[in-house]
Amino acid sequence: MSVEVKTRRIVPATEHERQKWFVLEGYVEGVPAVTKRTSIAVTALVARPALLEESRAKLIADVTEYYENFKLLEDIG
Amino acid sequence: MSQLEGILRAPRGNPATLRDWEQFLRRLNEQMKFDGERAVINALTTIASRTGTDLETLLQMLTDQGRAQDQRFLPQVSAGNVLSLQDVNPLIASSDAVTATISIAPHSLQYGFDVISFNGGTITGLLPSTTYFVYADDPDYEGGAVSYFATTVRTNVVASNGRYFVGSIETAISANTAAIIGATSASPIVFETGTAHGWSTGNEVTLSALPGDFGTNLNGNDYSITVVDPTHFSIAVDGSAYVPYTTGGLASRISQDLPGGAGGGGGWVDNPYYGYSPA
Repeated sequence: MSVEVKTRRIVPATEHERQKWFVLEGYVEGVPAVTKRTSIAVTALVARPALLEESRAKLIADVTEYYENFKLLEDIG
Repeated sequence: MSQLEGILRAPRGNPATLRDWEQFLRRLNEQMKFDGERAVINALTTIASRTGTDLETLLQMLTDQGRAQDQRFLPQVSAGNVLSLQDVNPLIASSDAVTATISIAPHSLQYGFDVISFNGGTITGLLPSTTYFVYADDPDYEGGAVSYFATTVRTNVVASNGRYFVGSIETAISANTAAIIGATSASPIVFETGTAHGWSTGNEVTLSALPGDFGTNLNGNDYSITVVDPTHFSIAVDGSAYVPYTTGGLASRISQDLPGGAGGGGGWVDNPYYGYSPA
């Protein structure tokens, strides 16, 4: 079961949160139930730039798992 | 409109023309502006004390279903002293060697008017061994995929209308590893680390790659430690018969995932605080 998980940056609504957080959203087109967001502390990103790619990889893995579970439930129904 | 009948002169019959409607709305607007003591919203609150705004703005804050979207309109009384309950405890925290992560499981929130479902999420780049308060902004009660944030300042949770308090949680201790550079053949065994370990008495470590008798008897096992100083700790094992330590070895602190505390209006439904046990 292959699925294309896309990621995009979500800009927080307030200035306070824009300064503190880098938000990534993982999603599958047409399946909003499996969308998931990861908020990464900007201070940690500065100290450890690799955290961004690590978080993106984890997000894609999580959304893929969500999608597979979602499809299983859909097949049952 | 029944709540407003006492302060309005209803037009004779239904307003039929644009002029009738204009007249009716103008009269309604005047009453609500100037009669702050008696103009009532949701049978509980006066416009003057809660909003200080005009009719046009008030009407914009209502949905088609007549549900107030703004938190200021929610009545202060609530069922069972809570305004909402989560269906599960959604929070769990873990740590690696450097940073902590809070995972938020998909869950739902039961309000008086509806059930709101939230997708899962994570917050990462956090400090280990720190208490965080987790929230999400959802002013329109839409649920779905929201951005979860964490703060160490509890008051931030209520610093914005429409903010949903997901719960509080203490992140796990860091799972860092220290290189062993010395060990005593004694009881208890005292280990020396190459750099400051940063651990506390009662922490558990996994020992590995130790040489000789130390390795044969201790490698792969978990031990509760007693901190001697920043670069020494001991374990309650009699190593007096071991051949002297030579070189090598690692000690890795064990970090266990931790569950979170109550969120929403009253935590989750099987929170022991409420004495509820699911069947």
